[in-house]
Amino acid sequence: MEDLIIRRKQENNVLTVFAEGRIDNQNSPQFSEEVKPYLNDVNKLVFDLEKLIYISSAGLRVLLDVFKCMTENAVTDLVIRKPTEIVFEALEVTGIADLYNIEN
Amino acid sequence: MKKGIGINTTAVIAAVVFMGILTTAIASIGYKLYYDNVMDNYVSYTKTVVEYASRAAEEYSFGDMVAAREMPDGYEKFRSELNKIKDCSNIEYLYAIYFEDIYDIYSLHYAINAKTQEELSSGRPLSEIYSYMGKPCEQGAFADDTLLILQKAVKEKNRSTGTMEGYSEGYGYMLNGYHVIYDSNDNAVGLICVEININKINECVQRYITLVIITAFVLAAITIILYLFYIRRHLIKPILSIEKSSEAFVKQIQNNAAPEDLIYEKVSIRSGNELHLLADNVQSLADSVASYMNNLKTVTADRERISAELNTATMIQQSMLPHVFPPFPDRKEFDLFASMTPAREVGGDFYDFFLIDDDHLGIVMADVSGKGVPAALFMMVSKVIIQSCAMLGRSAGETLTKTNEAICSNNQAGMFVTVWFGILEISTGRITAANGGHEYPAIMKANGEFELIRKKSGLVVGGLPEIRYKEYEIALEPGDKLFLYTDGVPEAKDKDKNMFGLDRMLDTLNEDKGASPEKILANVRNAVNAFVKDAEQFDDMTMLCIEYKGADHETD
Repeated sequence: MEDLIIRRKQENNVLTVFAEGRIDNQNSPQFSEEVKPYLNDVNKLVFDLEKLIYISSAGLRVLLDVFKCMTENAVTDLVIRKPTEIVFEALEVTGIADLYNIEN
Repeated sequence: MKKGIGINTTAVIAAVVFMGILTTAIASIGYKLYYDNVMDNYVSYTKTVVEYASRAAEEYSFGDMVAAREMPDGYEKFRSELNKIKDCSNIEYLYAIYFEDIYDIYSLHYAINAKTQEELSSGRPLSEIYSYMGKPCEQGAFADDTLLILQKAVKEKNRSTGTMEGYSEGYGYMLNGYHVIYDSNDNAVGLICVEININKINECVQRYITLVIITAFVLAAITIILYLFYIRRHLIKPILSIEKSSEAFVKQIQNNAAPEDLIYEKVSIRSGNELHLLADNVQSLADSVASYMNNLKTVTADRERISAELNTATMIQQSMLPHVFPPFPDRKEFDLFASMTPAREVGGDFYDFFLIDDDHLGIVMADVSGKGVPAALFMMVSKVIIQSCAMLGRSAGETLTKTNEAICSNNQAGMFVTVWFGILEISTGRITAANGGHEYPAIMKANGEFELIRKKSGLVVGGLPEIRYKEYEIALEPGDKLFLYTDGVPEAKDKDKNMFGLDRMLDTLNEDKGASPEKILANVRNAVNAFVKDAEQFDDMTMLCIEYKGADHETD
């Protein structure tokens, strides 16, 4: 079984990224490659993390990278949707929860 | 490797067996055809002689003589006619017989016989040489089977000439031709018989077979020699030379020859057939092995060098962290113990503590994103920056703010570090802390349980510039303990990827909450090891525990 499954959905200029499984140090580059090249012309980005059960610091780094990238493009509508408890804890502990709008 | 029967021997055996089978087959078929052919000739020859003799018998009315058992004037004339026939033919016996009693096969009598001039000139009296009418046949002169056939021919008044092969002890193998004699009343009265010695035929066939076998054998031998010469030159020799070269090559490897000295002696094969390809392929295989081993040697050397460097790096990193406990033997106000266990040779986790001044102890627990050498490099920088900022007498929040600025200003790799930084005022037990995205510390109040201090933390250090870190305070009473850790502890995984988790960590802490900091760390490490069992340690694991004993201990 794949540890991590990433799907993307783009509607108009809204990109939604669904991450399922776990993001650890091994597959965080995959996570990055599945997201970062698709950020052009996006004016709203949503990470749907309902089925993500774990995110490591390397995964958090990707979220931070994406945040920096989007901020440079003056996009501020960044959403993390329905993070699981463990993931939310990680987001909150590292302060990344403050960078995104958390929707439950 | 143990050798079986060599390819050379196998080829010879195969060739000999094959030629043997071929020779046998040719000889058998030849024998059959030749024998049948010769036999046919003899049979028709026998028939011709018998018919000629029986025609003479008719001419001389020999049938009537037999019927009457008489020897009139014509009798001897007929014999001389028969003698002439025998003279000009190559037969053994020519005679006439009759059954005295047609129902008794042993009642056979001679009627007449014929002899050649040569036989007659032997000097013996004619009465001994000739058989006359009425002379009983000797016992055993005819086999019973032969007698039955002759009897049947007479009984059934057989008009045609018959032949049969017979064997008797006295005469050996004979080809027997017979024709029934009739008297003038057309009664079957006896038989004219001719016998040809087929022992001669067998001899002839045997000679033929011997010739065939010798010829086949000689031809086979020549063919085998030519064939062996050919396969030895074009098949076996090339294979043996490939084998020789490969064996020499393998021996070099077995003798641990240096990879750059590995040589596969080139095999030259002139023919452009598959063996040529085989030789080329073995050659390139050997070359590949040699170059692979060469590469392997380089890679191994590189790896050994890197490994040696990493060992040194591990030592440097370990020695960078305060690692003598108790760290401040003359300070009795607190007891402190810390440990770092990297997942690889070097890690990105670190703890640190240092006296800022006589009354202030800086405590750091940090985790760099990522692992291994990059994390270790980043960790070293982070550690130095944090301590430098703290030593300037800044508050915990300011220290992290300054550290963040310093790291962000030169962070091409986009690394970050989570840092919990606290400053303990030794005289009062008051800790001012700031958290840059690090795990919540666990605190145990003197008579309570370990629990997490869930104070909202700031963003990871190095994440974004211009972040200001807020501070919070923790008041430690004598007997209180503070436990700091990195995510390697709660996120330690067993082989099914289940995580150790914060709850298990707190349970472990509370099981023996009165223990010394050193014992507490050992307890947690043991609990984690028991949980993950044989799973590989996945992340660095770092812990620090401080027990505040109170300012009163200063004078102890």
